[in-house]
Amino acid sequence: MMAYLIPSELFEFLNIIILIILVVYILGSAFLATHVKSVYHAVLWLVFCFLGIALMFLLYAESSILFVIQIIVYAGGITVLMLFAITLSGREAMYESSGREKLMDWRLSAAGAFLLFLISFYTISQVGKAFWLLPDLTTRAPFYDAQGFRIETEVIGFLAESIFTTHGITIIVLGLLILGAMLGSVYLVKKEVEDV
Amino acid sequence: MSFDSSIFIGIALMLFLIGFAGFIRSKSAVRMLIAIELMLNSANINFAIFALYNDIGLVTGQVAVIISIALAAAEAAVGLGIILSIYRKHGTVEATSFQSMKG
Repeated sequence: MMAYLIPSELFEFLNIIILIILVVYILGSAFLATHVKSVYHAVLWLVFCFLGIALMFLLYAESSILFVIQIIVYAGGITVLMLFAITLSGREAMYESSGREKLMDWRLSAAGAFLLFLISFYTISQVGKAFWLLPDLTTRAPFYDAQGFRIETEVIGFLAESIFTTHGITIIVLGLLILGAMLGSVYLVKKEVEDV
Repeated sequence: MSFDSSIFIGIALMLFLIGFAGFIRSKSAVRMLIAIELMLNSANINFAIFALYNDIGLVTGQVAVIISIALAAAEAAVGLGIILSIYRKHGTVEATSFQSMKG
């Protein structure tokens, strides 16, 4: 059991508050991503939705590896790809219909501030175990609880082992699929360039 | 502190519904892709939460989420390639304006 700096009742209450804030954050930014006029702003809202989901993986699914992958692939990769596609498809692609042309939305800034607040709350609440991610990522041995049962905690060694043994075929098929997707998209765009 | 798993399934369901509604009502092809990503993310939340709250093992669910994320990345790459190709051919990315397969 971790030792917290604040009373446990207050901690439980704050946990519920944080969950509510996170849910409102995720669902609100998802709603705005599908409803704001500017498609460019919609992609920015999607970034915040992905970051909120990443925090949900970290806080409630007890998985720091999914937190990292979600940020790298979704919030970092796919959204930048979308922004490139919007930029390359001309100015008229940015707005679905006649929309307001504002450079920045105050709600976007508020969303960023909320995210910083949640991250700082998590960090402060975990002061008891400093270097919060390091123990999870480096521990190799299985954990045992007080009754002697093995707890399969989030240990990256298990994940790596399972990727190379149990799920090896799936990962290979996935790699072939991604290769095919990459070659296919390159072919799609290249063919059009040659036609023009 | 752990919450009941139904809370997270409810969150995932609402996220899926938001994505579905966005997919139905949007005209822009890019926004349709955004809605698809939202629906995929709700499925990812379900995978991670079910892995934690069942005794099948945390690792299996996490591998499923990793596979799903990789699939989403491939799908986004192909989708955006198609969108660019359509833009070059039709000059627009509004999904209502290229309906040649509709007949």
